Order: sequence, then structure tokens, then C-alpha cells
Amino acid sequence: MVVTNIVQAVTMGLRQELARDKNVVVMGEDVGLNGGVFRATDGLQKEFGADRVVDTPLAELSIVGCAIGMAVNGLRPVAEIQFSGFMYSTFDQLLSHAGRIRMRSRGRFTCPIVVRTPYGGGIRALELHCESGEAIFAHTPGLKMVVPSNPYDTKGLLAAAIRDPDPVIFYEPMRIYRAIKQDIPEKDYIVPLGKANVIQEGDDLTLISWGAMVKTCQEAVEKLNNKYSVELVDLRTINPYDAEAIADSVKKTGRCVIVHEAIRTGGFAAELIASINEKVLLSLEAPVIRITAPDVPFPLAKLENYFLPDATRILKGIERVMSY
Amino acid sequence: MPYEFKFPDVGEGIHEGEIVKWLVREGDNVKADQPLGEIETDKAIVEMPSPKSGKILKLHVAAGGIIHVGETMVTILEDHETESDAKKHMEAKAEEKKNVPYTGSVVGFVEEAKGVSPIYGAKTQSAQAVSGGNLGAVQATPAVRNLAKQLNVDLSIVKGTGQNGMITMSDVQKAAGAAKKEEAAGIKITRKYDFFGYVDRVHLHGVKKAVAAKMAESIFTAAQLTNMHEADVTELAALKEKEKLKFEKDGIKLTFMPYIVKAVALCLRDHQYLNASLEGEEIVLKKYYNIGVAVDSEDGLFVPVVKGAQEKDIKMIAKDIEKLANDVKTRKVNMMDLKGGSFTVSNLGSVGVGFFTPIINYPESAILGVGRVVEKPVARGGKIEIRKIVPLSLTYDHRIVDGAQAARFMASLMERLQLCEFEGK
Repeated sequence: MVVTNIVQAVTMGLRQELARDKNVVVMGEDVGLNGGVFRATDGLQKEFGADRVVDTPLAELSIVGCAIGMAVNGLRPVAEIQFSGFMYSTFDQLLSHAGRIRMRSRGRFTCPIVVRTPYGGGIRALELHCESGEAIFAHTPGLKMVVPSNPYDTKGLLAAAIRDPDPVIFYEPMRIYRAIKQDIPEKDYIVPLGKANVIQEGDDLTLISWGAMVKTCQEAVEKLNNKYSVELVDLRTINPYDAEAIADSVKKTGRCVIVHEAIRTGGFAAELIASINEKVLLSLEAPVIRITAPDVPFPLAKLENYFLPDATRILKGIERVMSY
Repeated sequence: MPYEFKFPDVGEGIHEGEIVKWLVREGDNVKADQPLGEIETDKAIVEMPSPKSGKILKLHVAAGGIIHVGETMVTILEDHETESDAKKHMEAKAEEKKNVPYTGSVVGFVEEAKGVSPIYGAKTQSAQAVSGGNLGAVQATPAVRNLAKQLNVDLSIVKGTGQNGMITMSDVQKAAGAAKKEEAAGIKITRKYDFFGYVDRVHLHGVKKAVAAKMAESIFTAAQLTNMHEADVTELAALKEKEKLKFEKDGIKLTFMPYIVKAVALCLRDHQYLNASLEGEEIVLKKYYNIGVAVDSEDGLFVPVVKGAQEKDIKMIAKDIEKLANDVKTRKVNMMDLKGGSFTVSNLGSVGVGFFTPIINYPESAILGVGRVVEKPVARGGKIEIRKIVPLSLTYDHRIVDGAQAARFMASLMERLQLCEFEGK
């Protein structure tokens, strides 16, 4: 066991997979010699060599394009895009190719790539360095979408993503990269994709979130001071999401609040609410509400605390639903 | 609080200076006006005297560094201050610095963990449920839940009869009905206010309840309309005045009512349809002329009946009315005196009403409303005379009585009142 934060868990996971499977290749801007903008690949090039941990040109579309070609030819590339805002230039490769290779080749080829990228705001960074685009990838058939919220899940989900035969977008919660430490196993373990995690069981209300917002939800629950019995569900995988776990929880509590830091319209909460309506409408005691960012581009640092959901807003939402 | 010595605006367009060298170190004690160091601006090299006596807590810029106007150069703990002041100040400053939004780096600020968290998903139960738990187990549509809320029905104890045990609208309605019965047996909760303000609630019971039901039955059953007439009772008033004294000896207070009741009874003999009721396909024409007289009381409205009014003389009718009214007011009225009416007279004249639209005492076919007798100028034979006029309002059931029939009845009634004819044909 070793005390680890999220970014260290990424490094551990990469190291474990590089050692386990010689086909695994880590690639991206400054991932080799430099060790990565957030130090996620620190020391890996020294350990596994420049052929396994590859510095690439500053060209996101090409990074993903190369990774796809390598994957189709048998390698397991793990590409890093420095910030999720830079993913936009990779869309042609991801949406037009990575997500379609299995279908296009009628199952003869798959595309086992992982694209790692830090996402989200709350660190007073610049424009395009704070994006939360999980719903965009969830809306793309053929791509899997994973967002861990803690060190243990980060290592387990990353291992599962690298071993998965299909392309996986791996969103790393940059804001809490170093804000949570856990004593996690050094040995090989996997957290399966597509399974939500009930962090805390409760009977009054289901609180669903993922990534960095899980920590914010925990703060809100703590501030509730046992006023209500809240079941906190960490979705962990956005696509394919664990509809069963959500239905089971909401069926039990009858009330639900969903929190995400992505903007509201077309956010992933909308999909979850649709699923809840389809599966457990008859159990609902109140409308399912979402606590989200407003429908505007991510603001400059001074305004980000108004943009991002915080514990106060989550508590307000919980009260609204509980008093319906 | 320790003194923050900021690089002053010395004018002459000087915005910054270079610290050439420090003449003191952190921790040194200094006296006011003692030189702290040398600063070179683009004008000159100057010595910088200390503004305070005390201990140097911090030199903010290293020798060779550039300082701008308004930036803190030196923090001085003044002589009268303690070490704890110094500590507090430095901590506050450190915190302030942390809170300044800084956007100089693409990596931003990433928070550091304060402790080690447990692995998530180690199943921990949160607080005690306030909802009683497992509320979602109730299967009901939002519309049904809304109905349950309105009817104050607890869905967790309702047995669903719908598909897969789903609670339906009618399940909730039935449960609400059952709850109402329980309420009657147990404590009744009344709300002292509604959406708009405070209210009092009076339980509808006894005579008021019976009257309410009867009125609703009447208005929803009979096709009612009202004809209005003014009857000239100048002569009748004179007659009444004359007979009043006579009656007083026998202890009877004479009003217009006995005359009107008698006249009505006599007229009804020729206008059978106003002394009738509708029973299914048949109109029942009554051969008895029992005239109900509406009497107001604290308990509500009563209509005791003067039986066989056509046979009785004025004195007898006056006596009957007085006794019945008295019985009602003292709550001693005989049940039989309240039954068997065939026509009703309601007098609101005593409380100042003129015309009104009385509601038929169902199943009777008509009711006469008597207003207040007033003196009015009336044109008679080309002259204006002051006459005593009583406003009469006849409501009748148009299913049984036609307008013309009603008008003819009223014409005969007014004629009797005008001519003071109170004897049988």
C-alpha cells in the first residue's frame, strides 16, 4: 500500500501497464524528457525508454491520429492531451475514425487507444484550460468516457481503460489532482468500466456526480450535518453509464439531485434524468434537478467561483428537492 | 500591527527603483531615521531612512532587485509590539497572497491534500432518514402523488390496485374517503387561515344545514322565476288600524300578515297550479290551503304552517302566526306545525326589504315575498295621491306555473287586498 494522490495514481497506473504489456506506449507533448505538464509521466521515459514513452510535436490531431494507426496495428497507445480544451482539434480523428473502426471493419479491427486529459476548472487557469466536455464524448458512439474522482479509482480505471479493446477518453480531474490522498494497493487491480460507486448509502435522496465535483458533493453532505440521509453515487464511467445503479438508488430514495461542472444545456445530467424517468418514474417524489455551470464559456479566473457549482448551491438544490 | 514600509511615490516620474544594497538584515533592531539601504532610481542613488523604531521582520526585495512604487520594501515590528503580533501578521499576509487570483501559469493552482482519505465505496450509511426511508418503493405517477399531497394521503400505507401494485388515482381517493371517516371519529383539525388571511369556520349543522340542503335542492330542481307587483293597501291599512285596537284587547298584535295569508289562501282556490307540486310525471293539485310563514330565528329559518287558512278568520290566523313564531323562537315548535304546507309567504318587509326573489319552499310551486309597506305618490284618476303600497314578489316554478297564470293569481290577490275582501267567495 502507498499513500498517493490522483496524479501519482496516474503515474503508478501507467508504470504498471507499461511493465505488464510491452505493447503499451505513452505519447504526448512533453510526456518524456520533461515528465508532463502535471508530472503525470515523470520518470517513465527514463524507466522504459524513448520508444515506449514518446515526446510528440505540439499537434493534438496528429497525436491522436498516430495513436489510432498504432492501435489498429496492435499497439496499446496512451496519448496525453495537455488540457481537455485542446481535445477539440482531435475531434476529426476521434469522432470520424477512432469511434468507428470496429463498425467500419465489421469487427475485424478495434481501436484500443486511451486519450488521457486533465479537465475542469477551479484552478484559476486560462481559457481552454478548464473545459468539461464529457457530454460531447458521451454523445459519440464507439467512444468510452471515464472520469475518476479519487486516487484508488484513477489507477484501477486507467488500467481497465488501457486493457479495453475500444477507444477510451480518460478525463483526469485536474482540480483535485493533488487534493485527495489515499492509501492504495501497489499491486495490479482493476476498477471495471461502466460501474458506478455508491460512496455513501442513504435513504432520503440520491446525489449523483463524477470527477472533481464528487469532492464538492462530499463537502455539501458534510455541511448537511446529518439533516438528511443522502446516498452519494460516483458515476465513474460516463459512457457506458451505470443506469441500473442509478435506477436502484433512486427507486429507494425517490429523490435525486445531479451535480456536474459542465454547462447545463445538453449536459450529461439531462441524459441521466431521461434514464431515471424511463426506468423509475413511478418512484419519484420530486422532480430530479441538476446543479451545473451556466450556459456560458468558462470565464476568467476571477469569476470561476460563480461559474462552478459549490457546496452552497448543492445544499440549496437538496433543500429544494427535499421540500418539494 | 507591524508596519509595512512601502516604496513611496517620490514624484519626478519615478515608478521603480533598484535596491543597490541593504544596510540591515532581517532580525536587526533599528532606530527611526536609521538608513535601511540604498536605492537607485533613474535620477540618483539615495539612502532610505527607517520610518519607525523596531525590529526588521522581513526585507521583501533582495539586493539587486527592482521595487515598484507602492510595493512593500520592509516590514518592521515596532517597539511596542510583540512576537505574536508579528506571527499573526505574517500568516495573514501569506493567506492574502494565496487568495490573489493568479493567471500567469497555464497550470494554475492545484490544491494539496490535507490528509489521507479512505478508499471510497467502503459502504458507510449516511444519516438517519427523515423520509422514513424507502419512499421510492411506493409506485405512483407524479399526478397521483400530487393528488395524494392535496388530499393529505400517506401513500406508504395505501395499497395499490394498478399494474404491478401501482397506486392509482382512485386508490388515493378511496384512502382519502377513509381518512375522512376516521377524522369524524377522532380529533378534527381546523385551519384558522386560508391563502388570503385569517378566517373563522362555523360548522354547518342542524336547521342551517337542513335549510342549505333544501335551498340547493329547490334551486337545482325547480325552474324559478319571479314576478313583481305593487299592491295598493291604503284601505287595508286603515282597516288594520281599526281592528288593531280590538285585537289588542285579546293580546294579539295585528300586522298585515294575517290579511295577506288569508287572501292568498282564498285566491289559491281559483289558482290551483300555484298550490301544487310536481311528482314525477304528475302534477299534484292540493285541495288544502296550508300557508307556510317564514320565521327567522337564531337557529335558522323555520317555516311553520297555518293550516286551513281559507277557513280561518283574520283573528284566528293572527293568533296562529303569533303562536307559531313564538314557538319557533322558544324552540318549542311542534314538528307537525312545520309540515304540510302547500304555499309559503315570506315577509322581509319588517326588515326593510322591498322587492326580492324568494326561493320556493320545494316541492311547493310558488312563494310570495312581501316587502315593506311604504307611502308612494300614485296617479289615480288624473291626480297624484299618496297611497300605501306593498311590493309583492311571487316566485313560481315554471315547470308547473306559466307566467300568465302567475300574473292572474297576483291580480286576484291584489284585488282582494285593495278591496279588503277576506271572506270566502
